[in-house]
Amino acid sequence: MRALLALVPIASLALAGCAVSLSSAPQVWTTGFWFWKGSSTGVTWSNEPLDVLFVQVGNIHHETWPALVRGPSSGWSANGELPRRLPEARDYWLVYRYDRQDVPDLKVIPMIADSVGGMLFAAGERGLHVAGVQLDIDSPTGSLAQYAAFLRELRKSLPDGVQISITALLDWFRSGTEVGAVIRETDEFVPQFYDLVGEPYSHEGLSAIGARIDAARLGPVFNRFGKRFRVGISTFGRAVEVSRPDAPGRGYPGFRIYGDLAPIDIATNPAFQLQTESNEAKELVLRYRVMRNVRISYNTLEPGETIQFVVATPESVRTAVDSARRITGHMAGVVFFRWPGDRETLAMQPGEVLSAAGLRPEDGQAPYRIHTVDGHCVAVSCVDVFVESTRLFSAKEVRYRIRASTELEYFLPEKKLTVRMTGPSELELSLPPYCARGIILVGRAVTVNRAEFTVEAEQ
Amino acid sequence: MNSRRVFRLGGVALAGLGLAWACGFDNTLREYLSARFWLPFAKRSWSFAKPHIRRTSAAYAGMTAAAGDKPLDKLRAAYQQIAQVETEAFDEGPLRQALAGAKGDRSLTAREREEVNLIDAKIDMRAGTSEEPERLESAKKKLEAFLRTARTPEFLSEARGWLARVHYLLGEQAAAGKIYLDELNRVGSNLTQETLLNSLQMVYGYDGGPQLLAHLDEYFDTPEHAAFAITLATNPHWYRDAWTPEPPDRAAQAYARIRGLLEKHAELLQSNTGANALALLTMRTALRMGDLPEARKIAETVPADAAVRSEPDFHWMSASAYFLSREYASAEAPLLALFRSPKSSNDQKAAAAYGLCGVYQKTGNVMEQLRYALWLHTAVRKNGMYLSYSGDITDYTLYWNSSGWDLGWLLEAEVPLETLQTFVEQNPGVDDLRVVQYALAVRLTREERYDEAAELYDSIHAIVRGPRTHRLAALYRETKRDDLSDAQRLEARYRMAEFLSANPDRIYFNDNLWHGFQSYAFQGDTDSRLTRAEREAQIERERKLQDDQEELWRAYLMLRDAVRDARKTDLGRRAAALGVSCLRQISSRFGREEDIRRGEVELSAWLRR
Repeated sequence: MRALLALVPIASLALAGCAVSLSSAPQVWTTGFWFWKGSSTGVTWSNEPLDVLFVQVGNIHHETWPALVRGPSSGWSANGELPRRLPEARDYWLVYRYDRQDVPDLKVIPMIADSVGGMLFAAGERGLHVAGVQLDIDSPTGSLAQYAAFLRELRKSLPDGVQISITALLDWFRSGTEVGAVIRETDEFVPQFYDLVGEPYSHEGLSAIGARIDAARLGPVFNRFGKRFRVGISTFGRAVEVSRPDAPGRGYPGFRIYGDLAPIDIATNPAFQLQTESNEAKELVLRYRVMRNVRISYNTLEPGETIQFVVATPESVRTAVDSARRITGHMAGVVFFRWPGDRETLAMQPGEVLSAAGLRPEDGQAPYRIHTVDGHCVAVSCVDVFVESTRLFSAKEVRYRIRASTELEYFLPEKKLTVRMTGPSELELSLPPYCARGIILVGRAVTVNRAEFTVEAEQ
Repeated sequence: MNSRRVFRLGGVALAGLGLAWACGFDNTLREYLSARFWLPFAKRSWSFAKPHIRRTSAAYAGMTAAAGDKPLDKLRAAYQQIAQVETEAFDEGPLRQALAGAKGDRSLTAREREEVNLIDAKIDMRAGTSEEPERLESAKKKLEAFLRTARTPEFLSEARGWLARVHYLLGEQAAAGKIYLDELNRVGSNLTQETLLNSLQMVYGYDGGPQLLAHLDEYFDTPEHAAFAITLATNPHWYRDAWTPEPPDRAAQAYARIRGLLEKHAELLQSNTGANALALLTMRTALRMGDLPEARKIAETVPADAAVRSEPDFHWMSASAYFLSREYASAEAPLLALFRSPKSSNDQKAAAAYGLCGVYQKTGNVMEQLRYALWLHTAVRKNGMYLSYSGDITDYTLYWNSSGWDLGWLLEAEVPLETLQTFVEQNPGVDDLRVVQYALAVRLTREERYDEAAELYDSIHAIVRGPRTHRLAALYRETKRDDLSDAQRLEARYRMAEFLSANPDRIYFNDNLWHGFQSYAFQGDTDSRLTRAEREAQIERERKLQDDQEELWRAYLMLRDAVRDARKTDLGRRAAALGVSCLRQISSRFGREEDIRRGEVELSAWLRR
């Protein structure tokens, strides 16, 4: 009996070993960003090194033109290019994205390997430490076995020491799938907690980007594979035109995404009425409802339609990071999607993100500043005046008072802004709620001689 | 016309429209008010080529026909196999064998021996790459040795060219560039001018980049090298992305260093061959860096009889320094000198003419402003000049504006009518005077001086506008007759308005100037280069032109008055109906949407009563 009992702890250990690798050490928490196409190093950033940066270097592409058109090639390609400028990070991962909801053919693996080789050389020349390659492939859950086979073959083609990371859809982790086979072929995986509600870009999904992280439920799920993982958190925003549900002839899915629309483009237009709410992920949802026919870009909107903005907030980031921290085991940190472009208003700035996540203190700078760009006029001095706000949307109207050191000859305001001269050398800029964000071109100021400009905010 | 031809013509028209739509159009106006116009002229490799350099055209080493069986023939044949292939690796074995055979042939002449040695160096050059430079270094040594000992001029020239290429492949920009530059102007060079210009472009691009700035000192061995390097390094840049502050200007940061070099090597640049160089280079550097006082000081201290004062670049930079300092009158003399100089190219003359337009606009001399704007119009047409880029491209010199809108505005509104008349009277022989006369006739019609306008149209054989204006003059006279009853006079006014409404864009609108783009030239409310007074005057001028040139609006005003005077009569009703029709047809370029809407409502309501 005693001999039998003695076997129990040994058996327990063995069983535990099936679920958790006994050789895994506790993970060091890291914070990272995805640096995507459109991300820019021109954004406001203190330049302190990041822990990790996942850089989208290229795409896996499948050309589906008939062979008669595309010639003798297989139609598969994998191309990559290291961005000329990158934020400083201790580790870099090279991300290849496949745009189809499918698993790429094995034929493309040598091309990926070639491209990775070139990237590694280029990164070496620049002194960048590359930890590995990440694949951003939205494999259907039913194709995970095929995806595992793909990753296995890819590993054989990559140079020694290059790790493999993958992004992961939450649907893969429900019971009965082959996600374990996939994760076995990787060194780490990154479940993404955004764009989950309903089908991507469905009506359901339009009011939310981020998803709640249920640490208690998902922690054991992710940890059972014994592999390092990070959690992907959304810090970006989106603008969508949503048609009326009863609108005839609009067709499925009844919405249109605007790539470069910002609240300031809509808010000063009296044809819209604003409603705001916070969704389950604590993101801010701005709904500008159309009250009369109006034209935005090349589209005519009718009453009842809506332009909707969903944006991450410090609260949504803080909540997500706090939830992520409650996951232990092989949890290695968070990755934020994504590093913004330099003219974006809907994505949070890196400093904001890290402050919201409690990973660095709030900076002491004023939440707004002014800068000018010389227009190189000869007979007068002309400058474009920009106000840059480094804080998230204000729920109230914001007024900026801009002062010039000399009298203004005149001021040419940007069309969609409410700017007026309140004195010979003073301007007042009024921004509607939720529009005091990012870099705003106020207009062109003309003076006889060069002037200096200052800004104050009133609320 | 058969259907196939119609189809073809239609296709051509459609393609043309598509091309025009895709390509856009030049929309520059008053560019002398932009600092960009006054930048020093951008220089390219061809700017440094002296004219009439006699060149040789001998076959390169190894490239003559290899017909025989001699070792040299075999070497030539073997070399010619690799002579065109630059990127693919080749088997050197047969080449080395052939080379050894040729070197061992005691029957070779001295020239043939040199050819063999040069081929030897070229083989190493072709075998080498930037990634594996050892063979390139070997080629360099062989070519340098060759240049020390060889005598055949065409082989020497060729060897210099290859040595430059080796330097280029090894990343030695200065060494490569200096050789190419010397060969460009060397009498008897065996390298074509085209090859050398392309090579220089390849080595330096637009401004030589950071490598040129870092190695500037190496160019101060000859005045020509120094002038080349400084000129390229100070090629103008025009940063047009308004959303972010300008990136650090490398050349501006090197200003102090460039000035220091110029001062340190002043003697070199003041030598006989470099006499022009120092003043020009220091002016160019100062202007490029925005140091206007320094540029002016240099211009003013150059002796009156110095040769440099006849250089187009000197005139241009002097004028720039003054204009950018807002001393507009002082810019006139150097611009006139540039315009009249036999050394000036067509582009430079055009820049001078356009600059003078700016000077005269600022000094209020509209007559001369018109003269030079008209000259520009003629010169561009006669010489087939064109800018191969739109007015908006960065970095390139803007010599003049392709749009021609400066002349358009002068003729339409900026030059007073009397001044236009005086110009025509005083300049009977000037090219394209007809453009001015036509504009004058249009302006006269706007002032209701129809008889004068008609006569002028007749004198310039405007065979469509002439008769039309005569008809209008007759109708106008009818409206002024004292011997008519009120009703008859009203009827005359109606007929005149009716005539105007049937001829939109054919009476008061100058169809000779804008080519469909007039509304784009209305920039008064958005042009930030004007002073407040200039801006207000321009906005007023634009509004007046819009009002004066719109036949349908003028017809409407006449009809509105007729309605008021005719009251509820048949004539009144006809006038109101025609008035509404006129308002509905007015072009969007006219503006006054609210006035049009109000007028339409008023007349429509009157008709319903």
